[in-house]
Amino acid sequence: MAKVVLDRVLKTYEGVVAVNEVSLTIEDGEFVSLVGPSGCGKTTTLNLIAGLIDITDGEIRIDGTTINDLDPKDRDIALVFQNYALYPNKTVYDNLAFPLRMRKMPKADIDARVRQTAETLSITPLLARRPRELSGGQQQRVALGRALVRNPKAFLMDEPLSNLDAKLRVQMRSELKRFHQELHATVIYVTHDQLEAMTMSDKIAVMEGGNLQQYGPPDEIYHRPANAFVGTFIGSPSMNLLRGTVEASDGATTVAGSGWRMVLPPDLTGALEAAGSPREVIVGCRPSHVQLSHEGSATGFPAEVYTIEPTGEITYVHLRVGTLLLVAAVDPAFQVAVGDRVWVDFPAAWMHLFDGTTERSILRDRPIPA
Amino acid sequence: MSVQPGQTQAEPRRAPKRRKRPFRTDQLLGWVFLAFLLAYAVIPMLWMLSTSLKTQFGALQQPPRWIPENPTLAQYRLLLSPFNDVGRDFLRYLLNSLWVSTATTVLGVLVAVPAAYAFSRFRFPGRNALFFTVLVRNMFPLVVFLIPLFILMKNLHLVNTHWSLIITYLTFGLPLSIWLLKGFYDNIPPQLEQAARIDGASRFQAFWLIVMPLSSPGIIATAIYAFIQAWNEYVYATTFLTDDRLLTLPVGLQRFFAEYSTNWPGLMAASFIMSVPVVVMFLLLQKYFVRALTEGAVKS
Repeated sequence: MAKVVLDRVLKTYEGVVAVNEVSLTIEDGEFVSLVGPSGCGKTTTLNLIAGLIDITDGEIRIDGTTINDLDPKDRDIALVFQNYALYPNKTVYDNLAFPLRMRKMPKADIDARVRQTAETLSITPLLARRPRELSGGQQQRVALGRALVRNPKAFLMDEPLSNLDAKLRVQMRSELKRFHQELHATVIYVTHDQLEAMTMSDKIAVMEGGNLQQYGPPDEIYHRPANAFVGTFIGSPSMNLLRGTVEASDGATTVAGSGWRMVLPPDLTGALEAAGSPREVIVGCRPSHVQLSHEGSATGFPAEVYTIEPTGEITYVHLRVGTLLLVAAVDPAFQVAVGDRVWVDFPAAWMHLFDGTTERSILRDRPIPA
Repeated sequence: MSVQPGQTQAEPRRAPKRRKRPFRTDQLLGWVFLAFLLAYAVIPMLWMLSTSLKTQFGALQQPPRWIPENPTLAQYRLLLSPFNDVGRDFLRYLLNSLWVSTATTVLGVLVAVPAAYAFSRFRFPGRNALFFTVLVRNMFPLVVFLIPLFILMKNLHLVNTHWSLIITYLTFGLPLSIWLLKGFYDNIPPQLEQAARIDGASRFQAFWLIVMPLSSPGIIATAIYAFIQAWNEYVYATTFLTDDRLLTLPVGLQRFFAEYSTNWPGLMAASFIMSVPVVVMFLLLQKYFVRALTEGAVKS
């Protein structure tokens, strides 16, 4: 396994920037997810690492060696495709053997490796079948096997679970995670599903519009998003964002927008000053941290209950504040009805604050609450 | 790692229900239509076979008979024997036709496969314009090109050579071949080649080892089509070739029409022999042909 470094990697298509000077270091044995909405450049980045498309500028290194100009076949990496890309006219055995045959491995060794890999993935009974005779989950396994069989320096995976049904996806997710733990493989995993990224990764790289927005461990990405985009993209339902103007009066700092006003916790005013006291800020709070009450509070603001979504475990209460909609995830025991007037509080410890102009986080250095 | 392979659930089998099928007019019409098509295709073939087994007298007998009175293989013996003038000529035409059709087919496939692959996979300047140009040829009737091509061939000193025909047939056959094959390559996910390249194949190996086998039904269909077109072509063959020894079968069959009498059994026997390669080819490869026309056309 190997360390993969992207150094100011640039990819343009006829002047349009697809990947904008992305720099990433993926340590040996790390599981890193590239996550972002469609068209954010994550798959392009993966294909650049694989060598399927040419890099415009910058450098990609594997274990210190620059691989920019190497053919895909000479990079010694494996790629698991979203649609698996199994060779339809070959049996499972031949699919697994293909990468080894291409490397001119002796026949006996190929056989041993194929059988061992099949054993690992419990697909031995399927070796004589063709891909179209397999279920989605089995095809997925064979695709993984074809990557596994030749011990590559790194595994690239392009949304490998997105074609599976929901139940199988959850199962394969934990399997992939175990596979990573057992092999200590370097894995670069592309997904648009933030939950997959959160559950499996050592580190997450959030991309948008070809730019790397943030790169860090899941906890950091979740609790200390670098900007409002990362804040809303990671987490479901999305983080609530309120754009407002900062006002200082009577020694207290308040933020107010149309139909709401909240008192900023005193320990955040310092950070606000450190960030150059922006006049406009975006206040954020995740639905699970929003506190609702029937009685008025000094720090919060009132809102009208718009819809209620009970899920059994948690009830999502959608609220209307002026023209804005907010979501709160509350205990099902909380009694509330559509049209009710409730009080909304963003607890100080779980509050996010972004600069209104740059949308960058003002609280990045704040410790994550235990 | 010990995991269970994902299991597929078998569909619960439905108990077969025996129901009296109601009379369906549309189904009946379908059968009538099919019967008509079959008759349309088969009756001339049967008549050809029947006449080829008759004597010259039997062929002109009134009323005509479906079953020959004294069936004889005399015409076949004559045609297939190199020891008489008729047979020598016929076999020469047969060889000429085989050569022209095979060369057209092989060259056509050699050009159409890479061309279709390039049109399907690569984005290059002028791609659409070029593809359109290729198709425009199909909008004109063949005869329109007869005189210009004749002049061209004359200037190239190719008149009275088989190459004049091979080049002409390629010109006419390639657009459709490329079109047909492009549809085929479009249906093969590019990820397969990408996977192969990552698995250690060069670009060419990825094409040769992965794409080629998958597109073989399309290639076979294209080849059959090109072969049949060349095998049957008459107008250009009769215009470009005047040397008796170079004639292809469709033109050569003309010789059975004499000024005062026509050797019908001989003509029919020759026609029958001429149809054999095409029929045999079709029977052997029809499953590929059908697959090519359905798979290539419809995106899954």
